[in-house]
Amino acid sequence: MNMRRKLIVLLAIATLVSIVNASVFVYYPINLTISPQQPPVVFESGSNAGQRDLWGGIITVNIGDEGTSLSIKVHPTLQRNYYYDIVKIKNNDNNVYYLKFRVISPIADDRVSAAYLIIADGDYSEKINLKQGTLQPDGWFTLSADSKLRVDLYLVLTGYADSSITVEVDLIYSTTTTETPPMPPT
Amino acid sequence: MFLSLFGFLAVCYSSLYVFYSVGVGFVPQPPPLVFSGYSFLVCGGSYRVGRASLTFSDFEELPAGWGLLGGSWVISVGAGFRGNSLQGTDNNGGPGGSSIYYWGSSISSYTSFSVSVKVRQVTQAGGGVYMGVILLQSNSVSSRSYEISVYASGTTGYLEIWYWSGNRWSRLYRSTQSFYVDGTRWFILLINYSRVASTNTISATVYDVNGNVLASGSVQIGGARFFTPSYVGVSVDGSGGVAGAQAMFDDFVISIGSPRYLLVEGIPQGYSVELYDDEGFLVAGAVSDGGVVSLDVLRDVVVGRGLGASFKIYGGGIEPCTTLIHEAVVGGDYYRVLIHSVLVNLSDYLTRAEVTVIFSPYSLTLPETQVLKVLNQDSMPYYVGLVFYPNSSLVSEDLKLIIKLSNGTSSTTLLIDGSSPPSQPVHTDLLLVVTEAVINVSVSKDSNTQSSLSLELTYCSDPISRSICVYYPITLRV
Repeated sequence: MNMRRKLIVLLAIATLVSIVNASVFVYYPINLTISPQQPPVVFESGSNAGQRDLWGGIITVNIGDEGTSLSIKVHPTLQRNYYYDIVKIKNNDNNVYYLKFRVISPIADDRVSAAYLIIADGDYSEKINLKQGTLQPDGWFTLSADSKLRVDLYLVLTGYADSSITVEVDLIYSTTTTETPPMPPT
Repeated sequence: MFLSLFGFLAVCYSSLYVFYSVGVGFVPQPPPLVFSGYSFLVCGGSYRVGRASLTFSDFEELPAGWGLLGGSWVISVGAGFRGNSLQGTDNNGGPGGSSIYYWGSSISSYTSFSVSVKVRQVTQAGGGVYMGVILLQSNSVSSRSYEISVYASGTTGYLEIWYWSGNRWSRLYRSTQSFYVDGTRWFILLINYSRVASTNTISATVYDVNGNVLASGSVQIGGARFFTPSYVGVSVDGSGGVAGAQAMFDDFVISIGSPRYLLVEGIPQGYSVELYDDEGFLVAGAVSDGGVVSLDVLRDVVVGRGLGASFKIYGGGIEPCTTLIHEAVVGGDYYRVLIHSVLVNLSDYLTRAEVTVIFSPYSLTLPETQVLKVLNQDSMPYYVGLVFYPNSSLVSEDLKLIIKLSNGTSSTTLLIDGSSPPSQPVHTDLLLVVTEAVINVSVSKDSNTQSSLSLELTYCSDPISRSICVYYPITLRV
């Protein structure tokens, strides 16, 4: 009797093991079509891109990747510096888009007491705080069809010695304002 | 089926986010424009508020209203302690054989007064020369008189006081101290006269030009020798009734106060004031305790040539100021000087300026004064202006302020009226600045209420596009 019970237990274990190891894989077809488009929103140089900066420097604006990436280099000095109309954000589409910015690597350098990108549409403007690593602004900019936004840069420096300072920002645009933009995978 | 497809598309559409990368690089630079400035004093002027002298003369020319009793009296050009002097030659024609040149106004109503004069021997006669001051009972040759003189015999001098009764001389005093005399040395004779009832008191001191006492003495005169002096003059006389003695006179003052001191008020405590004559020679100096400063002008009681003088005020390690006086300055005068302090503090590598104006207690008006310079260290010009921010300023109602920015050829101005201050920031025009600009301020107010104004210096690389504009803070307290 004892022997019989042991045999039954062993058989049950063997059956269970055989079930676990025999996984079932089911395949459904998904058809993903990627159709690259011309970017509807692009950067373009502002009226003061390439113009004279302090000490004979140049306000450098490099726009790459068909207008989808931007790098700015300026030469500010102590106190309050305002760079006016160095870049524009242009909507080539006849549909509206909505914009936000995410400061990826905020400025921690203590020589900078304030730093803002200023996004202006006529008299209306919003400040993007480059010392704050957040999604900004709270709402969304509306970039109307076939319109432009002006980008200014405002910096307040308390020191000028040593190295340069950099900050990385993502411009995010969407066709809707209903959701918070996700953090893109690295 | 249709609804399912629509819903699927809607979800896909709302999930679209596009990310563009933006890189911003700053290369901090030293400031191309910097402030330049230092704390300094502003002399807002000076004026006389009192004068103790009844008359004075520096004998640059023969004074009007004077008369002579004997002798010949001429101006000796260039022979004075400063400038010209009066030279008298005795001819025994005056009272008691002396020769007198006197002020023609009566001083008989004054019971006390002082006289100061500078004397120098030219020629002795009869073995000596008396040169000094005479107090006359009347302006006639027969007048009684008191004569207070430096008596020089050979190279030895004494202070002597004589009385002339109308027919004989009596010596009232001769100093026990003697001093060296020659024709190059000036002596200062300072006399104090007072009268109580029928007693005259005459005190006299002889100084050298450095203020050292050489001799002094005092007499009280009553009885038959008492009279009330009516006229004061200078006199020259020889010894033993011999004519021909000559002497020079300079810096003559009759004063109802002390001709020795010039009084000055308005000098901040701890600051020094110096008095210079019209030729730039230092006459006197003192440090202020915040009250009235006494300047000892004994050595030149009619300062310089009697044409004017200047006060230089300095101290506290800040830039001094000088105020000119365009009239004769005389011992016993009382001047008020309007001194404003402009304190300039520059910081943040000369990119931040604080300017504080401390007004004289006697004036709340600061004439147009340069308070700051703006230096362009770049090889390229900038367009520079000023901005006034009323909302971060405290402006008293009675303030009238003009701030002017100038580049040497043109200027732009901010006008701030405390009774109608602007509600929005006010900008000046932008001026092209190649090397430097200056900021001038003029202020007036009715009360001591302090205003604090928030301003900025702004400069741009381009006046139209304003591609880069920089703002430096300026705080102005007035």
